Amino acid sequence: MPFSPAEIDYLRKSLQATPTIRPDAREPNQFRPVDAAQNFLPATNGSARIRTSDGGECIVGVKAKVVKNSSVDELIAVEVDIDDIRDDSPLPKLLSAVLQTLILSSIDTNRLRLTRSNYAFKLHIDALVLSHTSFPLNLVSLAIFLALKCTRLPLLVSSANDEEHEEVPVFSDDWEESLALCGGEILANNSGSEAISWTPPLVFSLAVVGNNILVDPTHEEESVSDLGLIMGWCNGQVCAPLRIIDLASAGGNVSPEQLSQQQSMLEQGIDLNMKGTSRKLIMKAYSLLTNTAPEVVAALDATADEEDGALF
Amino acid sequence: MFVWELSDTSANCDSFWIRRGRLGSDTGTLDQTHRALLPSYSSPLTQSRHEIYSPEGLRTDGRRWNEIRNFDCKINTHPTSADGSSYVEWGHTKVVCTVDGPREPDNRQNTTDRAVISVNVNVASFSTETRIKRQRNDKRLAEMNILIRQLLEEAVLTKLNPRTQIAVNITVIAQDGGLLPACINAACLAMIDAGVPLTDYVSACSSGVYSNNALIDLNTLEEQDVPFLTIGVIGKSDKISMLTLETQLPMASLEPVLATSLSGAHAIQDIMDAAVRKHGKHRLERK
Repeated sequence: MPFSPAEIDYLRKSLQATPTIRPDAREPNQFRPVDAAQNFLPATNGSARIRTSDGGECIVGVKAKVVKNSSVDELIAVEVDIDDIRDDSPLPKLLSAVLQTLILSSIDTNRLRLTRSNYAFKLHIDALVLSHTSFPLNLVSLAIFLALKCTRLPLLVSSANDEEHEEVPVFSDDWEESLALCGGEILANNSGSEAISWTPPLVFSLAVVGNNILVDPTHEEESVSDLGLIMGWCNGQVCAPLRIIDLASAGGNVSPEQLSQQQSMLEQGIDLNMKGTSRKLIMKAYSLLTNTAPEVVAALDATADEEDGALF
Repeated sequence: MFVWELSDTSANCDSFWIRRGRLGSDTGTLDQTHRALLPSYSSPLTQSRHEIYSPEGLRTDGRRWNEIRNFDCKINTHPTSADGSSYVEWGHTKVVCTVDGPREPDNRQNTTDRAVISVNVNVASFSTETRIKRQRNDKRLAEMNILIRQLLEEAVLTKLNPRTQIAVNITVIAQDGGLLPACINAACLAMIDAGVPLTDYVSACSSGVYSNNALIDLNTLEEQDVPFLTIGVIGKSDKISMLTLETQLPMASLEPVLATSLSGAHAIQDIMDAAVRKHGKHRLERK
């Protein structure tokens, strides 16, 4: 729904104020409450569902496939499918690309290796966005995090050494013996190195309004934002991708008239001066994320430990 | 019991999918001669074979001929994102349905003196045992959309909401046979949740025939081996409003198969009615 000039002005001014006043009275680094479920699809290796309070919902299924002679870059395939948006349009492609690079750069691919030279697991991570109002990146990222957390891979019972003669991988019949993808055991088994567990990466979209940076922006906040930042978080630190996007139009929910309205608002009253402040802003976003992301990871870990199985 | 199976999907054996499937009471359904011919189950590269209907009258998943799988349904599962929503879990088939409307149509040229129903079925690529990426213009899905739309058009009192649109979005997140009937049942529940006026419950059920035995509510394994049809009914009448049959079915079996499907569809209506009443009671108590 389009906003009137008065509404846009009110929203912008309150979001720009120090300290910022968000319409739902959240702190700048506070997420909206999410509702999560895990491991409800027995036909997948891992599955998760995330629902936000504005009705945004995403279901993720992870499927493992045994592949032969494939390069390391091909072992993770992320596909984001957004209801009502064609697969080849820019938004799903952007989300898939961002998440795929992030996961590939964060995972030690030894976790997916089956035999020394030929076979490996390929993870197909499919995210289905059933509905969304704000930019769906946060939603998809949280759901993928939870799905990877509960992903389990079957135990290899045949020999992993196939350097001299061909060895076709054979797996244990017992699902109880399967190994968690994120656990340390799988890495120790496959590469003989230390048992280090893996925390899947997250990616956040932040809205910049004036000099304020807002975590988990709602649709209203996005539509008056100057710009959006995409920042990754893996292995306890902020990481690539770092991208600047136009959140006000990325969700596809803003009409051209609205945009021009905002434009004129910006030109009249508010000094954008992005060039001068952008470096400072990015540093600010960096420190904000350094403080917030560990809390998000801890909250998600707590959900992951809960009982699983039911979808609704 | 859970088992791991490896099944070849490509001719050159370069890749194969891992299936985590549930075998029924496999030892009870195979007789000795059968077992001698089959390789042992412990060998992971063999595709296990199942007996569709054992002499003792049990199917691969341990059901009798007239037993449907566990049908679990909920309505109003997505109160914030849609006008009406439902979730149907039928055996291992899981379907989420949301209904938007009656609302102002997207395209004002399409307005008529009745409500226009549009149906969109979206199948998740992880819903099947082997991952299949479905295209949006998949012909089978397009056909399903039309079948569901035509059935709903018959049940919905479209004349009461002229110049409006009702959008039905169905998302399939897991499938194990009975996809079309599960979608129809989910659509009916979501319609009820959205408050769309209906003449009566709409329900669907499939059944097939195996050596003169009618089998109700087939799962994927049975659908692959057995000729079957799906019917849709409105209310507890004998009037069949939708019927699809894509395999060759002996003429003599048509009548028992229709009767079985019909009783299945009627039984589903009772379960759906109970779920709707339960939700209604819950809503009244909350007030």
